[in-house]
Amino acid sequence: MGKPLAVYMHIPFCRQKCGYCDFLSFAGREDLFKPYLEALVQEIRLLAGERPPVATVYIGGGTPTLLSGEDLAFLVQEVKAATRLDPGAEITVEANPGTVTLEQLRSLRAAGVNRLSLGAQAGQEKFLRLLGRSHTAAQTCETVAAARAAGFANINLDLIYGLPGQTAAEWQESLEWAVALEPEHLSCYCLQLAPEVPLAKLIAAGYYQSPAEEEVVAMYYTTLQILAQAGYEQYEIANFARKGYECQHNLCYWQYRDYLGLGLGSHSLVSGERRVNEEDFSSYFGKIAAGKSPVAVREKIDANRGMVEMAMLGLRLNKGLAAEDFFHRWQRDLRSFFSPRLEILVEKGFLRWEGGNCRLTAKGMLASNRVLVELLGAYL
Amino acid sequence: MDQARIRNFCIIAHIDHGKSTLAARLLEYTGAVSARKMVAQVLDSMDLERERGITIKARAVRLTYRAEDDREYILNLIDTPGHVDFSYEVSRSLAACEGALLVVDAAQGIQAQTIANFYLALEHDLEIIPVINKIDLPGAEPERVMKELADIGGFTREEVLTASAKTGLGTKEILEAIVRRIPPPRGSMESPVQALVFDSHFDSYRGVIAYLRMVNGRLQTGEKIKAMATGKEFEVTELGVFAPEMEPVEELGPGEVGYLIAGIKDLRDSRVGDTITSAENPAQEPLPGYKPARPMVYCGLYPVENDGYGDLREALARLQLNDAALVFEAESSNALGFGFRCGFLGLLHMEIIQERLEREYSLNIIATSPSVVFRVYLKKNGEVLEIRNPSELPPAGEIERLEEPFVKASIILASDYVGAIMELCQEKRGLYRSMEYLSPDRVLLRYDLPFAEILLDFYDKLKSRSRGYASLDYEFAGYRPSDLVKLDILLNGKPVDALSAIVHREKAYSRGKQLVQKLKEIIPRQLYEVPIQAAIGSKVIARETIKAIRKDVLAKCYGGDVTRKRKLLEKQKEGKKRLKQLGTVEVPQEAFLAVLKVDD
Repeated sequence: MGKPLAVYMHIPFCRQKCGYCDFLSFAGREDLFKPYLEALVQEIRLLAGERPPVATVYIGGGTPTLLSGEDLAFLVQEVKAATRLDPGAEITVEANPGTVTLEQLRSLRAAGVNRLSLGAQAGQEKFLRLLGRSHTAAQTCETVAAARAAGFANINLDLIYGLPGQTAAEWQESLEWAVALEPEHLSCYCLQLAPEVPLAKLIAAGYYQSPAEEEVVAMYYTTLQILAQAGYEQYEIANFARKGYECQHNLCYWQYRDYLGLGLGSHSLVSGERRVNEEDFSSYFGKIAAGKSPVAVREKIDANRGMVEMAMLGLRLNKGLAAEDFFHRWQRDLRSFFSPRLEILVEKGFLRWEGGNCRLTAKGMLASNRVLVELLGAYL
Repeated sequence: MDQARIRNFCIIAHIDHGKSTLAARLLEYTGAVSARKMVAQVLDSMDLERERGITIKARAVRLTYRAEDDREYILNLIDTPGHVDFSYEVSRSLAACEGALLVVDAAQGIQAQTIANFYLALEHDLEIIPVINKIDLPGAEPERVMKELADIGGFTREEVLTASAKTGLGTKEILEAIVRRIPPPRGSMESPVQALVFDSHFDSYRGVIAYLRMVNGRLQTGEKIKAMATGKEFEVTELGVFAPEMEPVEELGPGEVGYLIAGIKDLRDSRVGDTITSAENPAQEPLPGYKPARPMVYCGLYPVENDGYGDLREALARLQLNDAALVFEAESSNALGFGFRCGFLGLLHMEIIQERLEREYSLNIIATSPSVVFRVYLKKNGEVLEIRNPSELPPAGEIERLEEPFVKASIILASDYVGAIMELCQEKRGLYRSMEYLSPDRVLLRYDLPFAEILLDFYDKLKSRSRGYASLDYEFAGYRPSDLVKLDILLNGKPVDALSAIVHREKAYSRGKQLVQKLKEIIPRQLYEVPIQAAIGSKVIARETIKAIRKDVLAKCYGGDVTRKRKLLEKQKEGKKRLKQLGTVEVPQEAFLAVLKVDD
C-alpha cells in the first residue's frame, strides 16, 4: 500500500429532505440508524487485514449528527482500529445547525474529531425557508458558539448563492453575517439544481425565478472581494480558508489522490479504479452480511479518462494543475496534450500559466464548465 | 388476357383528401390484400411515406374484380403522389392510364391540387370519375362539393359518386364505375412491342425493376428487348404483375401493367418515360415520353464531422439509384468543408432526402438554405451562368442582368381572405393574373410569383393568413429579370459562405436585419462574444452581438463523485455535437436554414 488514503463515510439520513438536494439521503428512516451503523462498522472492519495508512477522515451525509455523539465517536474509533490513522489526521464531521448539541460536540471532540462543517447556507430566514432548511440563522450562530465551547478550532460554513429571488446585496449580507461568525473555512457554492428536485420543479412551474446571470456574476465577484478583505484565501473554485485551514480531505479529491468511500452509495478511487457502493439499503446490507465488499460498480480509469479527470479536478484549485504532476502521472506534456485548445483559452483569458501550473482565471472559474468542455472536449 | 377486360386507372386528389385510404379499400374489397395485412396504407411502403401520410413514388397494383355483369376484370391501379413537388410523377402515372378517380374531400371541397390534377387528367385525355369522399364526416357538404364539381368540370350530379373510404361506403359503386365508364385499353397485339416505362427502381439483388404499361404488342420472358432512348439491348429474365406483391407471369400483352427484369444494372438504362420495344422487331417510333424531371431547388449538404464526406457520397449515390430526380455534385465551402450541392424537385423532396440520409444512413448532416437556380448574364461576351449556390454569384460589376424563376400559382381560398392573400402575394413580388369565383364563397386566385418566395415562407404565410383555408398549386412559368443582390453574413468578422443568400434589392435591408436577429436567437451563447453582421458587398447593413456566457460553474463535488461531474461535462459536450465549429464559433445546423425562418 502506497500513499495514505482519505476515508469518507456516508451517513444517508436527514430529518427532512431539502428542496434543492439530490444527494443520496433519506428522511424518516430512523428505524435504519442501528442496522446501518452496524453494517458500516462491518465495512470498516474489512480494512483491518490490510491496515492501510489514512491521512484524513470525513463523515458526511445526509446529516451525520442525526446519530448520537457516541455513535459517531464509535465510527472514528473503528477507523482508528482498522487502519493506520495518522495521529495528526484531519477528521471532519458534517452537521446541520439545530441537529447538534453541546454534549454531542464534546463527544466528537473527545473522539478526536477536529473539524466541523456546518450547513449554514444563508443568513436570512426567507432563504433558509426557500431552501427547505430546518434551522434558523440564529441556530447557526448558536451551533458555532457551541462548537467553540466544545473546543473546535477548525470550523467550516457552507453557503449557497444564486438563490431564486436573491440579489447580490442580499448575498453580501449573508457573507458578512458568516464572516462575523469567524469560521476558519467557507465553502460558497452556486445553486445548481437537478431537474427532479422540488425547487427545480417550482422554478419550472414559474413559482420562483432564478436570478439573472449578471446578478450571479456579481455575487461571485462579491464573494471574492469580501472574503479576500476578511483574510480568507480562495484555494478552490468554491472554497476559501484562513492560511493553513484548507480542507485536507477535499484537497485529496482535487489533487487526484486515492480515497476510500465507506457506506451506502459512497465513491472510491483506489489504484486507478473508481468504485461505487450499492445505493439501496437492502443490497448494501445483504453484501455486508455476507461478508462481501459492498461495491456495486467498478470502473478502470484508462489513461485518457485519467488525464481528463485529473485536469478537470486539478483546474478547480486556485494554484491550478502542475504540468510536472501531470507529466509524472501520465508521461504526457499537459501543454501539448491539450493543444491547441489550451493556448486559445489562455489567449482568451480563461486560463493562465503561473510557474509550471496551468490555472483558471477568475473569469475562467466562473465559466469553468464551459472552459473544461472546450479544453477536454475531444477526450470526453 | 382479354384486352376488353382490362381497366387502367389512377387516383388523383389534393393531399389528405383520402386517396391512399380509398386505394387500400379497393385492394381490400377485391381481395388483393386482407384487412389484417393492411398496415395503414399498403401502397405507401416507405416508412417515411406512411408517417407523413403522403405518397412519394408512383406505385402500381393489380386488382381482380368480378363485376355485376358477372365477368372478371383486371383493374390496374397506378398510385400517384399527392404533392406539388412530385407532379411530374403524377403526369407519368396518368400517361399509363385510361381513367382517373378524382377524389374530393366532402368537407374541404375542391382544392388547388384537385384542379391542377383535373387539368392534368384532361390533358392526358382520361375518363374522369369524380368521387366525393369522407361523406361520413360531420362537416361534410356533398351538395356544395357537387356544385363545385359542376362548375369546374361540368360534371352532372349523376356522374359524381359519393363514398367514405374510411367506412367502405361506396366502394362497390366505384369499382362498377371503373368497369363501366373507363374505356378498355386500345392497342394491338400484332403491332411491334411498345411499352411505356412509368417508373423503375433498383433492387440490390435483381438489378433494375422497370414498371411497364404495355401499349402495343406482346412481351415474353426470354425475349430480347431494346430501350429506345439509349438503344441498349437486354434479355427479359422475368415479367410479372403486382398482386400486390410481385408475381411472375409468362407474358404481358397490350393494355397490361406489370414489371420487367432484364439484368439492367443502371437505372439510366431504363429511364422513366422511355419506350421498351423488341430488339428483333422494333417499333418505328417511341411512345410520347415525358419531360425529364428537372431539379428546381438546390441546397448544400455537408457532413457535420469532416470525415463523413465519403459516407455522405455513398448514401447519396444509393438514394439516387431509386430517385432519378435527385442530382448532386461535389462542392466545397470555406465554412463547412467538403460536401455536395444537391438538386431537388421541391422543398418536400429535399426534406425527405435529408430525413432519409439521417434516418436510413445515420448521417449527421448540415443543410444550407435551399436556393432556386438563378441565371446570370455576364457583361463579358454575353455569357450566361446558372447559379445554384448563392456564394458563387460573380461580383456585381461583372453582371449585366440577373433572372430568377417564376411560377404560375393557383390559390383556392374562402372569399373572406381574398384581401389578405392578395396583399401577401403583393408583398411576395407577385403579379396578379386573375380571380374566379368557384362558388359565392370560394375563390380561385392566380398569380405569378418568384419561386424563391415560395421556397422562403409563402406557404406558411398563406396558411396562417387564411386560417388554414387556402390551398396552393403551381407550375413553372420560366425565367424573368429581377433586381437581385447577394447578401453575405459574417460571424466574428468572417464571411460564412454557406449563409449567403440572393435576395431582391428592395428587401435586402429588412432581410439582413431579420437574418442577423434570427441567427442571434439560434446560435447559442458561448465562451466568446460573437458579432453577427449582414453585408451587401463591403457595406454592413445590420449587426447583432451574441454576448459571451459568463457563468457556468460545476456544483459541489460531493463525497468524491467524480463520475457524475465527468458525465455532466460529457453531456454538455454531447449537446455540442450537432454544432458546427466555424473558427471559434459553434453554429447549430438550424442556423444554415435561418434564411427560411425570418418573419417579414
